[in-house]
Amino acid sequence: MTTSAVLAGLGSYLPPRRVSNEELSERFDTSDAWIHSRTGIRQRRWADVGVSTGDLAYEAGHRALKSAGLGLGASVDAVILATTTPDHPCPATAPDVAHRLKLNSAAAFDVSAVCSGFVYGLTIAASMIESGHAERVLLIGAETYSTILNPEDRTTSVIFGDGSGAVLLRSGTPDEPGALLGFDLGSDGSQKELICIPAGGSRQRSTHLPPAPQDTYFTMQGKKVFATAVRRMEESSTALLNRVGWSIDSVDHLVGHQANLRILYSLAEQVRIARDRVVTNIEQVGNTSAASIPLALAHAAEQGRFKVGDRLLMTAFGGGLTWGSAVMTWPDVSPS
Amino acid sequence: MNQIETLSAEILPLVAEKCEVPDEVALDTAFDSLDLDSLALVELSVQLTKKFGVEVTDDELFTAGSVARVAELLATKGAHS
Repeated sequence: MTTSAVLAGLGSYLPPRRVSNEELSERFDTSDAWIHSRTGIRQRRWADVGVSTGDLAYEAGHRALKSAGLGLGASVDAVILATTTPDHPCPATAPDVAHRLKLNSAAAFDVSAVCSGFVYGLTIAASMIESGHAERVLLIGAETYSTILNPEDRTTSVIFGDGSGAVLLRSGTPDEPGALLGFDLGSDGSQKELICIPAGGSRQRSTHLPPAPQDTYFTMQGKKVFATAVRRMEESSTALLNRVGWSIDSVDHLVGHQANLRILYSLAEQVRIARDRVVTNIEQVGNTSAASIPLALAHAAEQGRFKVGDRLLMTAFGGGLTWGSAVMTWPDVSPS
Repeated sequence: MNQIETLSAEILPLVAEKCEVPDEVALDTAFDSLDLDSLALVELSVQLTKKFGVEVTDDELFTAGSVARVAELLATKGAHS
């Protein structure tokens, strides 16, 4: 029988510090009403001084293991970390997270696809399981965007938050609830400047000159990203639904990257799905990039929103540009 | 109705739904005078691109400046209602 990756555990973690729109209004010329009307965000979490992406990844990874009935030192074949904000340019953060989770013999690597990273990671993890190279894969999306935000840039500072989410995938069959049933990935590097940290990599370092301070921060051309994100997620979602033979009416939940509430609602309009089937948690956590989809899954599951067997369409868009979609049915799993 | 009028009739409700007072939007009402926020024209560009199958940006909509002018713009791009 065909092998599929099946979701067996789900964990999430948010750093404790809440940053409200009111707090940001004291730093920037903005207001709660302005931020909420344009983004849907009321608050986000920012990690405390000294807390890294690896720290948040460990927490979500540990919780996903517990959710799957496993623990530290479990038999897991690979740890994949999707992140834009690794602990170091080199080495990858995943091996350290695997070590801290006592998964010492597991393959471990980072995936760099910005806000699409979790969907890219899902595709890789499922492919490893489907090909027989792995029985269990721990996929984590974790970010500390607070470390790359330009403190003088209002437009990005109000949007992004820190957090982590993780899934434990196991080998199973496509007819099981929780099976990942299809994927669609894409990219367009001609628009890499739309979402970028200009300095810190070999392009800038090859000059052997110190970077301009502002080039060390995350930049985003928000309006262009908005229109392109909706278009690419709509195209990717439609292509994937056609491939797996699902009508949009048969999709119970659209779990889109929590970039901006208005992007999610524009996407819903384009794919013709009712807003009440759109999963959102952006109001409370902001845009957490690669962590956003597993966080949204965990928060919706905690609220009892998903029933076993429900059909989920996940779709994301991020820097690169990159985008991707995945479909699955919902398993009998409790998030931790 | 000619083509511009037909396109205008389809665009008008899309603009009106983004306004506090939808009834105040007419074909020649300047977008500047409407209480549209910075993302409204981006959302409209997404809707029009999908609906009419021709690419139109928020900058082009801003330059056009009214429903009637947007209809003319879309017609020149080959849109059909």
